[in-house]
Amino acid sequence: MGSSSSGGGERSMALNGLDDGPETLRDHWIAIWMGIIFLVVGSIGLVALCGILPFPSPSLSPDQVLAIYRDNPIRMRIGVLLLFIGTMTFNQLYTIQFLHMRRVEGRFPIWSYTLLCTGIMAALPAWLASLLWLACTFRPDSDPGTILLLHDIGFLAFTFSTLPFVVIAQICYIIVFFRDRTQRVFPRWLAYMAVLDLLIFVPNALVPFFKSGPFAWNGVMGIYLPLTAYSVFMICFMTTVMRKRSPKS
Amino acid sequence: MNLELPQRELSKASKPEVPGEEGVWVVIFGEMIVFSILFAVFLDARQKDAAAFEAGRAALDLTLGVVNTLILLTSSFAVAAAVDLYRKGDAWSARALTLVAALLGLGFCITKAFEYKAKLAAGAAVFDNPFHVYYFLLTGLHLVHVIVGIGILLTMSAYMGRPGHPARQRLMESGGLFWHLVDLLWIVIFPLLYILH
Amino acid sequence: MAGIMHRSLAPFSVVWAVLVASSLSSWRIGGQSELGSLPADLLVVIFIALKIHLIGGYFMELRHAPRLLTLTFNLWIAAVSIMILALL
Repeated sequence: MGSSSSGGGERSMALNGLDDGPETLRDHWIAIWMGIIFLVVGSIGLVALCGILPFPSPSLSPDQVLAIYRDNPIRMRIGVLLLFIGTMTFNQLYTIQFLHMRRVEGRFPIWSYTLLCTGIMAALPAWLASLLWLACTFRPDSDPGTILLLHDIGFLAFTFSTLPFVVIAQICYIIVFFRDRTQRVFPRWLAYMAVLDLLIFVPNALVPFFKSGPFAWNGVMGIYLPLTAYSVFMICFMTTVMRKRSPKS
Repeated sequence: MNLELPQRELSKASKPEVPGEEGVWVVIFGEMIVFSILFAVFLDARQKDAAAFEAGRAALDLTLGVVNTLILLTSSFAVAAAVDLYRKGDAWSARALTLVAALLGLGFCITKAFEYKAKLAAGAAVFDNPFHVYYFLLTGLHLVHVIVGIGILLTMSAYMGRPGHPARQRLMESGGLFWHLVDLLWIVIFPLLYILH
Repeated sequence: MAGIMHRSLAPFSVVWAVLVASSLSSWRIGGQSELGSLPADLLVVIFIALKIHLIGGYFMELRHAPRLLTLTFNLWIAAVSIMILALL
């Protein structure tokens, strides 16, 4: 990782212009690897949970929905367990985001702290959904109406949850575009990527109105595009944070 | 007639420069891809229910659609001219043209409102036909972009009063690029919904 | 000042005229159902591609842009045109 390469030239190239020591760099990498591992585990859980990756359609009949939970209870429970682990993906990544943004802001880092709070809110729906799906699989022969309701709440929570991400994108956009003028902690194209994500996340508000098509909770605009867009954004963000730049005075 | 574009800087040799800020192309290509996906979904849905979609298409007001197309094309022309004039130092004309473009954008919204009103006069029954669901989705999403674009144009015209150093010129170009994106998307949406069958 | 304006806006004006003509032609072609379905659709899609190419090249100034950017843009035009024709 370049922390002990040759001579003074290399020593002046630090993590994103930070002046801290090799411990900080190591912490960054630990946090990122934690995120990656949790994400992979959570994804495996999601695939195991829903059988194949495509989410069940909101227009399934009640019998089909009940069959999901009754057919493979053990597999679903393992899937939910892994999904719970997956909800831990972003905590440390949001902290990294927060700390680098705080470098940009002055005495009242309003936006950075709002990002932290919003990040916590953003992780909650996935956790809630996991809990509800766990309840569905825990006692598969309980009242069908209850299972259907929990199924609906779970998937709605999981997919109709882009509002915190809208706020996160908005904060990234504000910080990079308007606040980060002198230090240039972040590249400007990151702000534009946040704008693109905003434009992708906002139509997600149509999920409650559709039971099929692209805006349903299993649709391309309902879940797949926002998920992809946000994943790409996080990857780009972490990449720019981890790049080597000489510290600005 | 010489169709060469006015040079970005009159003295420069033709060194290729990215129009606008580099990052804005993330938004432009991103939105182009998002809408392409929606077009694909629309066309796929249409293949499965051709009769209903054709009935919906036939009920559309083609004239209003053409009017909207001409409005957007003209406003794009105005924006392109404005950005170029601003670069050349004629901030007054640039501002006027940007406001004209914003006004035309407003005209687009008003025409759309008339179309929507006519469609929704029948009430929620309009959505029984899946064509109308896609119609409102595609044109509605596009309309959101138009409104955002008008905001950008108004912001641009407000900032055009100040001297145009290169950084500001790039921002103006970027704003203009977003408006051209809006125009470009409508160029596809209009025939897709109103004409092709 | 008016002279400068007139000269530098000439290419934009020409492009605008072509765009308007294409749009009106598409309207005419699409409006008539006698012209067989496939040739009419093909013409309309060609007009779409032409219009977006012109907007990108002249209004968005891609003619003066790095080749990769222009190429990507034109590739998108081609891909969407093919997609429309394929799924028609």
